[in-house]
Amino acid sequence: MYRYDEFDETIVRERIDQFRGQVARRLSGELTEDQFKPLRLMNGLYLQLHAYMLRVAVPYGTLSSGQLNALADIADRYDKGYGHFTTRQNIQFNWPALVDVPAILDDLAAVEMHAMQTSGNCIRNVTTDQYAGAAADEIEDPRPWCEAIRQWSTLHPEFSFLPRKFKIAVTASATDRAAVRVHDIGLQMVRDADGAAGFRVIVGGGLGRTPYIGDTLRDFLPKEHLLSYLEAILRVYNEQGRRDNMYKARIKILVNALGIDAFRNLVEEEWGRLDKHGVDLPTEETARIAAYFAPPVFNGDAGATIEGVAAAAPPHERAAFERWLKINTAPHKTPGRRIVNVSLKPIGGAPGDATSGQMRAVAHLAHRYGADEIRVTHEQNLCMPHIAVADLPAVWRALDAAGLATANIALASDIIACPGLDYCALATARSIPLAQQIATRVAAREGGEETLGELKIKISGCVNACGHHHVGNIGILGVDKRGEEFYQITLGGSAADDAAIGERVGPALPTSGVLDAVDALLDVYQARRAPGERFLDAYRRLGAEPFKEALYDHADA
Amino acid sequence: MITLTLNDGAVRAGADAPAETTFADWAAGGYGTPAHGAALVLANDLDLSSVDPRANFSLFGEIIVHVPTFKDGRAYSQVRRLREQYGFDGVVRVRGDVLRDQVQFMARVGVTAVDVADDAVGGVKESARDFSVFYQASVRQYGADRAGPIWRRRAARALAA
Repeated sequence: MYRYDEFDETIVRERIDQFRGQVARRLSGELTEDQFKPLRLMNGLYLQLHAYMLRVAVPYGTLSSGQLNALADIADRYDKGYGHFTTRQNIQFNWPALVDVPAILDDLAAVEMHAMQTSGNCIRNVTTDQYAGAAADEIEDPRPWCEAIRQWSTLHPEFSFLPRKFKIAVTASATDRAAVRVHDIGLQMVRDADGAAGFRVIVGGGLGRTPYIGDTLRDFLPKEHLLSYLEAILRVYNEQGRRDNMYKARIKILVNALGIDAFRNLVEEEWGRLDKHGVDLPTEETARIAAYFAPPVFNGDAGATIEGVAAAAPPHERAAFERWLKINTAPHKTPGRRIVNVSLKPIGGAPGDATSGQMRAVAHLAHRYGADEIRVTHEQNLCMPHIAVADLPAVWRALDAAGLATANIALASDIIACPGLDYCALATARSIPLAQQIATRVAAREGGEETLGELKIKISGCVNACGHHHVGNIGILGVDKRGEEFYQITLGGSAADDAAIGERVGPALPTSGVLDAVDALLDVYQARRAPGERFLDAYRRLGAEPFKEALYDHADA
Repeated sequence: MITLTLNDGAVRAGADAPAETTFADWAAGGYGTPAHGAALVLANDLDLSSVDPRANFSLFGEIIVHVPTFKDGRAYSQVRRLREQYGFDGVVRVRGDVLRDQVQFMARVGVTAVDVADDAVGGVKESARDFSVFYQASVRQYGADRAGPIWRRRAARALAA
C-alpha cells in the first residue's frame, strides 16, 4: 500500500499545526462558531447530539495492521473503546473532547493517517472496490488512481469551498462494488477498442433528498488525463452549481437542470482549454505511486482449495466453517488465495461498530496471514483481501473468537444503517435499534437467512440518506410524524451495476409495524420466487403490487 | 480597511485605492480604454468562462474580485480564469468576507492582494504561510509556490538521483 514520503508527511503535519491554531482561535473567541464550523468540518470534526464526532479518513478503504492498531489505541485513549466504520470507508469516533483532537491528529499522523476533507463542502475521501488488487475481474488495481485523486484533491486551492460536498468513487471491475452510479463522480475502469485502459466517467448520481442515478459523461477517458478531466468537471460545478439553496447545491441538480448533453459540452470545452500538463501527473509519478500497490508475494500452496480445507475441518465445526466459507469469502485472482470478509454485523449488534479488541484481532490476523492489509467496505464491514486458502481455518477460528465471523455478508442481516437519532444531530428517527431488531428477526426465520439469498436492507434515519435507503433492495427511511418515529419503505433499489432508486410503496409505518412488514415482504418473495432468483430480480419481475398488498394488508390486520 | 500585498507584505491605505469601474459599466461602454489607473470590479456571479472577445482585461492594472461570504468559492475560479485563460498579469485584489485561513488558497490561484482590517494583517501574513508544499501546481509563482507542485519536485529529484 501507499507510504508517505516527506512531502506527504509535511502536508499532514502542517495541517495539524494549522488546525491547532484554529482550535485556539475558536477557544479565544477570535473565531465565531459560524466561522469555525467549516474549518473544523474540513478536518472531519462534527458537533453531534451529545458530543464532538471525529471522522478519520481511510483513503479508499485501505488500512495496514499498524494503522488499524493505532485506531484501536485512539478508541481506548480518547473514546469509549470502539469506533464506527462508515459507508465512505472511513471510521468515526463518537466521543472525543475538542481539546484532545489535535493530539488525536498527531497520533494519526504517526501512522500516516489524517482526518482531512472527511466533511465540509470539498472533495471527500475517494472510495473504491474493497476487493481492489484481489478481484479476478478487474482491469487493473484502481488504488493508484485513487491515491492520485487523494493527492490532487487534498487542499485543492480552487475547490475547497464548493457549493456542496463532493464524492468520487472508482471501480476497475465490471461488477460494481463501489456504487459508482450514485456518486457525484463515478469512475469505472474500461478498455477501449485498442485495449488501452481508461475510465468511463459517470456524473450526477447521488442519494440524499433528491436521488439520481448518474449519467455517463464520457465513455472513455485515457487514464493519464484523469486529473485534468476531474479538474474541468469541478470547475464547471464550482462556477455553476447552485449556492442559493443547500438542498439543491449538489452537482446532480446542476446536471439535471442543464441536461447531460449541455453539461458535457461545458466540461469538454473547459477540458479542451485548460493546461493539462499543469494538472495531469507525469508517467514517472503515476509509476511511482503504482509501485506501492504491487501485488503481495504469495509463497503458499497454490493448489489449496476451499473444498479441501472444509473437508479437513473437524466434524463438529465443519458445517459452520463451510457456511462461513461460502458466505463470507470470495475468489481471489491468485490460485491458492481467498478474499475474507469480516462481518461487523453481528446479529443484534450496531452495524459497522468495532471494539478496540476486535480491531486489534483483525490487525493481528492481517499481519500474520494477510499481507498486512485490511479494507473497510462501503457496506460497513472489513475485509482481508489476501488470505492463503490453507490459513482459512485458523483465520475463521480467530475471527469467531472475536465475534467477527457472523456468516451474513450480503444477506438480509448485513444491514447498512446510519448512526441515526442515537448520535446524529440531523436525524429524525433511530436507525441502529431498528437494524438490530430486523437482523434478529430475519436471522430467526425458518431455514435461516441464507435461504433468502442476497438481500440488501438499508436504513436511513432522515432524508439525507446516509444509510443509502434509496438503493436498498428494501430501503427504510425514518420520518418524524408529530414526534413519533415512523418508517417509509422503498423497494427495488440497487447500488450495483444494475443501479436503481427504490420505489415508495405506501404510507410510513410505525416502528412496531416495520418488523412484521419485512417478514411479510420476505414471505411474498419466498412464495413467488423462481429457483435461484434474488429478491431484487423477483421484485423486478413481479412488480410492486404483490409486495404492496402483503405490506398493507398486513398493516391493516 | 487596508490592502495587503501578499508577496512582499506591503500595505496600502484604503484612501490610496484606485478608482473603480464595474464590469457591467465597462461592457456598456463597449470595453473601451478605462480612465487611467482605474481598477475593474467583477461581480461574484459573473461567468468568466467566456466573455466578449473585445474584453481585454490587460487594459486594467488591477482587478477586484468580491467574496460575499467566505463559504462562496466562485472567486477562486474567476481568478484562475483571469490568470490562465485571459493571461491577466496585473494586481488581483480580493475583498469581502475572507478568512485568514483562505488567503494561501487565494494566493495559489493568482490573487496578489487582499483587503483586510487594520488589526488583522499579522494573522493574515501568518496564515498565508500555513503550508510549505502543495500537491497542485499554483497558478502563478507570486512567492506562493516557487518550487512547483510536489509531483514535479519528486520527478526532478528522481531525475537527479
